[in-house]
Amino acid sequence: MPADDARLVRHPVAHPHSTNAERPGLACRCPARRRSRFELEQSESERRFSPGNPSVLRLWLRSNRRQAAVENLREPIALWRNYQMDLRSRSSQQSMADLIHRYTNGSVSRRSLLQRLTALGVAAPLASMIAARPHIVAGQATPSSEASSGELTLVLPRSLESMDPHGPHSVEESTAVILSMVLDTLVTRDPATGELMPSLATSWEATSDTSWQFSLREGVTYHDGSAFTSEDVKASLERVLELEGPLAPLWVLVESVEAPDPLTVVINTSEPMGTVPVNATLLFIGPAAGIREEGFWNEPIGMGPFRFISWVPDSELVAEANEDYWGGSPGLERLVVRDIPEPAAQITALETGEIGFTFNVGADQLPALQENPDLAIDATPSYAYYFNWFNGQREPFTDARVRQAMAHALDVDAMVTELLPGVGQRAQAPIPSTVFGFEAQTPYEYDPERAMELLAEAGFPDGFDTSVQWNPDSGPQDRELVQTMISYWDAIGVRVENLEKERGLWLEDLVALNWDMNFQTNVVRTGDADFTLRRLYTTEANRNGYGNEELDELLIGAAATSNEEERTQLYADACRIIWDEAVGIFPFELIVNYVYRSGIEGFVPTPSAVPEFDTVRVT
Amino acid sequence: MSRYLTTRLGYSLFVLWGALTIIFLVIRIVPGDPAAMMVGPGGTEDDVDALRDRLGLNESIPVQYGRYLGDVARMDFGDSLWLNRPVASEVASRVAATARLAGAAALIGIVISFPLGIAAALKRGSPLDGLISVVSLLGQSVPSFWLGIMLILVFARQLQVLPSSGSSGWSHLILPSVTLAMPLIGVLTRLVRSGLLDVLYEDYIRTARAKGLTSRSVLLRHAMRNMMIPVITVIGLQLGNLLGGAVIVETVFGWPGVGRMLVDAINQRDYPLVQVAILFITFSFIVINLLVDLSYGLLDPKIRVE
Amino acid sequence: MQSARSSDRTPDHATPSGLGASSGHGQPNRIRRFMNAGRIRIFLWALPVLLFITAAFVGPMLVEYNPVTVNISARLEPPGTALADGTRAWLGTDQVGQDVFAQVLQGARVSLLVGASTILLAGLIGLLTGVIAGFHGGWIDVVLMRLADIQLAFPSILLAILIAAVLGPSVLNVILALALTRWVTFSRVARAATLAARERDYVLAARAMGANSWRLLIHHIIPSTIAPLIVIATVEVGLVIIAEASLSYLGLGSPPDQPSWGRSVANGRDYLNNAWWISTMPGLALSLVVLTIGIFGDRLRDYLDPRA
Repeated sequence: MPADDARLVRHPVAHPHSTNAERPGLACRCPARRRSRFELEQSESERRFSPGNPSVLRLWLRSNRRQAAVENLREPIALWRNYQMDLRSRSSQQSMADLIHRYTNGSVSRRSLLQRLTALGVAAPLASMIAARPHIVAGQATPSSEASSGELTLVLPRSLESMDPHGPHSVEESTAVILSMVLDTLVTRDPATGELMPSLATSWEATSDTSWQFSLREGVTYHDGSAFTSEDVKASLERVLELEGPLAPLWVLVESVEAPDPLTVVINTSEPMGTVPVNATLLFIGPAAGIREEGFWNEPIGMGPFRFISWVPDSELVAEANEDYWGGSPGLERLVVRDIPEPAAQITALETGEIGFTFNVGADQLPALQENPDLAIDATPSYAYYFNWFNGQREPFTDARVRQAMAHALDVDAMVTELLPGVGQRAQAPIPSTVFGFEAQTPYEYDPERAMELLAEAGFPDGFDTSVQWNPDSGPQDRELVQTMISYWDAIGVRVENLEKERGLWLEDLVALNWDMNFQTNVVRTGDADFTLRRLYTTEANRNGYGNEELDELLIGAAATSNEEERTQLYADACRIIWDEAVGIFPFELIVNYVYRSGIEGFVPTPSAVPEFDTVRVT
Repeated sequence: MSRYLTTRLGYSLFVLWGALTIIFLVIRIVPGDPAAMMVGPGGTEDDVDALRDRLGLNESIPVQYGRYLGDVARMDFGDSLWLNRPVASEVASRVAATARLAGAAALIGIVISFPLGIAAALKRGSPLDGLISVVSLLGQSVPSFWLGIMLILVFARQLQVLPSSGSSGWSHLILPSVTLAMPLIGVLTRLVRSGLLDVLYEDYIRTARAKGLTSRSVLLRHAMRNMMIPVITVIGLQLGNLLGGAVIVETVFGWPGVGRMLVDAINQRDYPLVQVAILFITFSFIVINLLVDLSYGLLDPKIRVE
Repeated sequence: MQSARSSDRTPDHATPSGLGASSGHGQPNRIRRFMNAGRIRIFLWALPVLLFITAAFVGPMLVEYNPVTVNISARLEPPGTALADGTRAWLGTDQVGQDVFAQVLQGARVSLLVGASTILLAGLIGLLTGVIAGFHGGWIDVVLMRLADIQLAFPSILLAILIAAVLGPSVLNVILALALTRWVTFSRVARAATLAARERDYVLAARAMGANSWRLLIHHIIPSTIAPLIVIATVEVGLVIIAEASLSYLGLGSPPDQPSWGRSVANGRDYLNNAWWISTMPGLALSLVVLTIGIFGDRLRDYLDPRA
């Protein structure tokens, strides 16, 4: 089947019968040619039956050249075989060393050790000797080769787009992971308890109703040696406000920031703001001089546990340990963040050892990973959850009954069981159960008849047409969840168009309120309900077209005070309003899993789904 | 020879200009407002206006065209909408990866097709010939995106022998380049086979054999030389398909080349980037064809004599 | 060799190599001659193509497929599983429980539709431009041929990607984009055939007798272009089907609710580990269809050899 070669206009071999349209190589069909072809066929069959006429190829093969050619091949083949054996023995040496180490640590039992040594090809008597006296072999077996000692390669589920902590990508999970390696915040949360802990700030207090003072840590230096001062905090916070990115609404009450001396920062707000320390957990500080420079955030200089070395977008990011880190030198020497776009490829890379760490693995891939003896999985309920907003300014979602009908149409339990086993559970409030301010609500039962009743009441007995927007990087099984929800809604007569958009475009439309329904995940990054509820549900914020004065009062009140009991009560009421009014459907909260290869220790899982590596070691 | 050179060069320049113009037209002469199309469904009026100003779409088509040609000449294409970085440097950073992939695929294609085609031609009618014909037909029938996925399935997942994405090291190069080379193998094998057959039984070849020259020298000197012209032409054309196929193969394997950037740019509606990516690939294709035409000059004695 | 230089050999068929072409010396074996005629070969290879066309037309009517309804309790089931409602998923189910076999049939319909329409449209454009260029000659010829050259400067899939990206995903846009990239081959062939026909004796004679151009075109020239165009079409169909699938794989082809084969393969991309059938089945169908169309086209071309 000749391919697309219409450009050829010449018959290569000059021939009296050639025309322009002939393709070269295809015999032109004139009689003269044909004859010789036919003759060829006859002589071919003659040749085949007459042994004294060897074919051209056979002759050539018999010639001396062939012998030399084969000889020339032998050497490379031998080299290749040696290389393969070398690789195999090196990897089996390495796994033996791994095994021995784990045995001496106690994480592998004697029986298991014997089994695995036999699997590696070690004879039984030798294996039991090793089990009795592992230190004999431990010294000989080479530990992990130079390239990987103290180095951890990881992959982020979503590609990194930007490292700017104050700009439009500041709340992206990938951005947060990298930033927590290279930069620090004033305040941080203890990964195990969730309590607020000092980081760059050693202490803080509300000096008045509208003013907070932070005392900064002494002796902190950036990776280039320059000193960290309060000017940097001032500049960073001011930049957040200036850029009006997704973090800016957290600080909307801030009037001014002062740096009275190099180790003190004062934040003045126009109204009482009790959430300043909580929000400070998301404010990454950068050098005042550098952060406004163009291109600084492509090669950031921070003061965090790791020093940024290089970043090739879509390929690899490298960071090295900052030995002078104020919190102590990290256990790792090097961190490599690789970009692997396909989830299945990420899993394969983890299984083969190409990478050592990843997180938020999808439900379909988890079972296989759970059975893999080389991998450890830490799972914990997270700050992340799925929700489907209704645009409160668009018909027919202006009517609460329609929204409630849509909620009743979904069989949430079935979706959790079939689509999110191990990575999700049924949500009971507009915020996850791990977040401060959570209060369980009455679930919306799966009841299509009730849904259709509500629709009829609201004036849509035959359903209606609408659409749902989402972006393919949202969360686990997002595509399947959207398709399933559309199927459930179709069953009650609501025809929903599936509008999948690339993240950048989806984000633009989201902010512009240019959607009917919007399905996405959200992470309550600060672990405090204020981050989500006040930022997104006040009339002023207008992120989903829903406005309710009572809700506004509750949320603003809860943000103003730092009295925990008061805030708990206010948020409980706020949750109830949002839930009962069905401002959105909140079907699932997500369980975050961190998956890493054995040999990696010291990792502390956090519900924030932003893994931190300052305590991690590779053995 | 030099006349031939100048003719081909002039022709290539003409074709390049035509390609530039087509790219320009396709994006501008869209039913409706090109700026609205670029912003996408659901863009606000302000977005559309802002984009129009930024890309200079307010001016008349001839003025835009003039500016466009000027931009191309100066190789200054402005900034990408999506990445906010200069477009030219974005493309440049991806070129090496695509070149590696296409080069490896071309090499594999040629290295495999020639022996196969020669063997099929020499053993015409035998089972080997049939088998090789089937293989070449398969190479042309199996779509490269599916072949790539199947190779990933077999080699990267089940056998876990080769990595399935990423681009450092030669083991990452194997699967993508084999996938990209398959259609080329399909076409070239057939071509080599039929070209060799045609030439091998030409009268003057048979005369040479009758005169007593050994079979080996016949094969190597007379037959191959004359078969090369059509083969090289087709290789040149197929390299163009290689560049086009690279777009798909890079997407399947996540190869960080110009092709994958093109697809991402389309998804992001970043038309300045789309434009330049296509421009670059087309330009490469034209250059390759020019080189192929020039190599004719070396091989085809009629031209050399001129 | 010398004995066979007789001119009574009128090969109106291709003698398939190795099929006993030479074993019937002088004995008119009727069956063997019929087989040698190659007609059986052609019919044989036409069968899979007909099967494809039938499946594309009839299949979606017989096997229910609703792009919206999902069945998540039956997701990722391997081929041959019996489902809760009594049916069997012969090719398995995808990640939301939809039947892969039904999707393959839907894809066949899309491929057939796009393939046939594109070839017709491209063929029509090619015919018109080629005949006018060849017949009229002069500046029209030059302009059209230069245009063709410029178009061929693009790797064809690239131009299709550009046009499809600009127009947006829909079946009509795919047909348009592909037709606009493939008309050149048809045009070249039509032009060549026109040039050849223009110089034929009977045309010169008709001209001498005063027949006007239109008559010539319709009665003599255009008919002589049909056979070569059909030959080209058989080659192009396979390429068009693959191109449409490639565009759909990239997300630029048919819209999401029309499961083209390319889209189905893209769908299963993330499930190679646990549900390989989602990507494998549509691609297998695609490869088989293109393969059989190709072989059929080869045999047909040999049979229809215009120089016979």
